[in-house]
Amino acid sequence: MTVVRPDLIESSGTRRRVRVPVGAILAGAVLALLVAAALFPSLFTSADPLATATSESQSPPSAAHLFGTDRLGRDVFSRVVHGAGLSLSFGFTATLIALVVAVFIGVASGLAPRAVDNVLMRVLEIALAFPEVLVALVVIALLGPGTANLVVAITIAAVPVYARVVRITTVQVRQSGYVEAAVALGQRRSAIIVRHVLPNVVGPLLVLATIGVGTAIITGSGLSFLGLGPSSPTPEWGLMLSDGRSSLGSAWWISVFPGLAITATVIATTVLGRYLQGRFEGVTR
Amino acid sequence: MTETAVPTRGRAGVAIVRLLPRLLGAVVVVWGAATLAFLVLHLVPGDPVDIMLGAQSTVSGEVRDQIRADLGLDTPILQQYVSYLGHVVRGDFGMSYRLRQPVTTVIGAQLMPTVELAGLAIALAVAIALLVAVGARNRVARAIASFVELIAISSPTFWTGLLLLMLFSFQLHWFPVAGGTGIEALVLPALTLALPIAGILSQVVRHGLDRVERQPFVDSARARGLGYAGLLGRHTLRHASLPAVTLAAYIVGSLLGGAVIVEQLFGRPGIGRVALDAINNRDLPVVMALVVLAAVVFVVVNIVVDLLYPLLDPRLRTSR
Repeated sequence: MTVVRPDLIESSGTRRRVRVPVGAILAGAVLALLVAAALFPSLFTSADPLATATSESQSPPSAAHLFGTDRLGRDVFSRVVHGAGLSLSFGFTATLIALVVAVFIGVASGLAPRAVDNVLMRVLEIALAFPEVLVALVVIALLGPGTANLVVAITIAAVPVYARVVRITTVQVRQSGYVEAAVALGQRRSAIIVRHVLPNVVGPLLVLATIGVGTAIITGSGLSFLGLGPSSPTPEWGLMLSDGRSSLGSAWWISVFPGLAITATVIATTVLGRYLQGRFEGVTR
Repeated sequence: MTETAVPTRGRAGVAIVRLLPRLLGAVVVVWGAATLAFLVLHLVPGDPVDIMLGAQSTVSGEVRDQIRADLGLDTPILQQYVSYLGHVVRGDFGMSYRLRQPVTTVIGAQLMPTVELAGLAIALAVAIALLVAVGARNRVARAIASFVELIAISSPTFWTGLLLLMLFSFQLHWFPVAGGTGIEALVLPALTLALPIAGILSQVVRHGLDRVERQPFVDSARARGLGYAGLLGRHTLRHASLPAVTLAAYIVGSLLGGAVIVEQLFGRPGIGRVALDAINNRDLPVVMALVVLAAVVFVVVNIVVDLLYPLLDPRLRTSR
């Protein structure tokens, strides 16, 4: 059960046709392609992302090597395709874990006694004072570099944003008439959380999370650009950019294509997130 | 936010009453950051003395005990906490594990390059954002502006920086590739840092202008014979920039985060480089001092914004 709104009841009767803008469709298509590349890289390329060929070092884009080759003669297209998996897993894994943690913290804080709620919110506010990259950097300073620690770092950096939204929604729901009614009817606390609080939290969270995936991907590839994530032969977009830096003057393709992949991914998640925001606005606000 | 009626007692009085809870909040944030720093330094596994001496050290146990006593590591943890806070208040963050210098000296020496970089980046971002927002006044221009903004926001700085280097340093030879002092070495790093911020600011100011131009006071100003430029200068731009001002803390924060990447990319000295070196070497006193520094910057920016707000929006000067 969610908030009853007359405008929504009407629309469910007449079934308003929703026109999806071209941008959102394109964004969805880009994301679908990326997910496909992450799951089945061999569908897109047969070249081995790790195979070196010194005779073909830094050859420009051609029919044989769509995106050219890097300093060690590795196929850049294949490395970009195989890199999709890691970058998306930074984005999706970190966001997903962060969401689960945030729902626990947010709901607990929203339902807890005033004093506990205040302390938790103060802590979140302090955490929110720092940009995500800085939080992630501090976590890596503590845990040390590496792929797994990188995901943990991005996750921790993302939690406060989501937790605050969950907590705000929880407090709104808790003060609503239907929760009062449910309490009066003697429903158990856990039942109220599952049936009333969680469904209301999902909408706004979904919108935020779509945009958050993009942020997490930028943060993740940025940290691996700094050498704090996966190590060298691994095909990862940020790491490839860091490798391409030494041949900027002679081989533009080594750094242009992985960067293009990151930007395209982030644009796609942002466009999709904004579209969802527009659609959910009526329901969430 | 609770709106409590404050009796009018002059502008200064209102400002102080409005600021007091903010100042208190500021102290709490910095204290929180310092406490986190202390907890991290003391609870993270690994003996500070071992880290300081290095893994292959053959220093005897007595000397280790001596160092521990010198650092106050043999006193109860609560006493160490109080003494740590006391030192932080005086700007003393202890010794760097690796560099064997006071942390404050290490950071202080690298502060200026980053301040210059961030300063120029903000100036560039504001200039670009205003140009785009004011320039995009018809449908086609708006569509282009909104697309360019999306690209600016979505591109990682380490990529735009590389693209700028490729174009302006390797192709056109306008700016040095890396190193160099002077202003020409500052332009590309600052531009790299500025672009995503310019994208966000331009978006906010553009929407602000669209909203403000529908307000009745704009019609009345037009009726008085004010042209578009006069309207922008005297009225609309000021109103449209209000939401952008609230983003100040976020922007300064993203400058700090971006500095780590940009300084590494362009081989520049600065706080970002200090941070990255400290992270790679697990030099925790330096890392945690930077955390406290970031908290202080955040808090100061927020208070400045609070003071600036009534100056920009006359409606907030009275009654509040």
